[in-house]
Amino acid sequence: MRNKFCFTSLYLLRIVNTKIPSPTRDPLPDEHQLVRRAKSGDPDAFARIYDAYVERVYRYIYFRVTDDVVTEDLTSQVFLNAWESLDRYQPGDSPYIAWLYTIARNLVIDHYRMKKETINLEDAGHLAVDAPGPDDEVQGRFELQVLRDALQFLTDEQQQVLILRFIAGLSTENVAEIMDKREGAVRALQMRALQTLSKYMQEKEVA
Amino acid sequence: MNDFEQVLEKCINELASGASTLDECLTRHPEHAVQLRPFLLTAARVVMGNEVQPSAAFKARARANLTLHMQAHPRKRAWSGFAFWRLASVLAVLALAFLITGTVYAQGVLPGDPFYNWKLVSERVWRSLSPDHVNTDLAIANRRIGEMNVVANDPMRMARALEGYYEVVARLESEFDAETLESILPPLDPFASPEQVIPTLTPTLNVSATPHPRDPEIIPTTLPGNLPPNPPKIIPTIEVPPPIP
Repeated sequence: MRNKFCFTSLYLLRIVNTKIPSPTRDPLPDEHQLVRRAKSGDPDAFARIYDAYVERVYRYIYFRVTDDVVTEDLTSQVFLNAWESLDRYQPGDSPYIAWLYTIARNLVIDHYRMKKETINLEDAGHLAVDAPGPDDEVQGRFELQVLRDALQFLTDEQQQVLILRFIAGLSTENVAEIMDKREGAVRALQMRALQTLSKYMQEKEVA
Repeated sequence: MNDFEQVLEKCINELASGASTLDECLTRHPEHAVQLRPFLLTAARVVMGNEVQPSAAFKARARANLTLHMQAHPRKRAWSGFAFWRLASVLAVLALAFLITGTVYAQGVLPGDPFYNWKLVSERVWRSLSPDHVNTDLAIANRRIGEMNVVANDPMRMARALEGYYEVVARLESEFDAETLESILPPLDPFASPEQVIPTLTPTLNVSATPHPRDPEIIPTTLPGNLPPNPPKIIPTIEVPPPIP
């Protein structure tokens, strides 16, 4: 428990003063051309899209499920489905990554429908207590696991908003499009999600 | 959105895009710092989720699976918009050319020829587009008569032409009274020899279905019962002035 407190304090110090490089800062420059080539059947073009976006899709799924193996399976499946459904993607204002997030979101929903996967507070607490000693890498992994577990206590929509806004780095407009909601509704969800998560994390740290 | 929500949204955008740190945001908005802090701290913790990375082994494995899948399920090459419209316009031009050539060719065919139905269809289109149905019907009747004269030796083809002729006559019957019609149409003798030429009608007759009351009355002359071998092609008309009241 003492280790956990130590991690959290150091971690907070780090996040207060660190600029996080956004994943959207470096979009695929020739994305439209690659998508067009992939649509006409060019596997190399789609492989380049995979290289550019696999990490972002993985991250999204990582925070939506609790199992690393499931994360990898679903990430692979996203790109297989994306290849099959290329014709349905209409390049417009939204980037291709938004289309991939939509596929990922549907796969996660299907996964939970099939598995009825749940996590409870005791499991999350167990992870925290069993965390190994404090070095930078382990500390980072531990905090990410804490964040992953904490996100599971949010509603499905709250999770999505936070992951898409802060981890995927999408604009409120793009998040609204993926979630099929208005921007005002997304901002309200974001506020409630941050409140709930903040409260949960404070409680965990005090405990 | 109230002032606090606007500041929060701005700070969140900066934090999410990596434009500024949590501390920088709080320093810029000291009036909301206390309220902002828990929100931004939580948001910053979520932003740190960017550090999650899939293993290189997984990325390579998933890429190999994807490549195999793409090879096993190749995409059909989608038509580009330009190629589609180019092909469509070429096909449309070819279809139009075929239609025009076929129609022109069909006008010279006889009953029983492969394009004869095409000829009948083109005549129907001609009649429906023509403003003067009566004269068009007379012209079509003349065509049938011409066909009958040519195929007189072939009973099957003759029957086909005759059938077409009677169709036109039926249409004309609805336009004229029996007396006028009798005066226009040549009497057909079913026992006539094939050598006997059927006279053509005069489509340019001054005949109209509903004569204007002020127009002089038009009385077409009757055709003689026994036609000469080469009957006159134009039947003269007599103009009678309207009766004096």
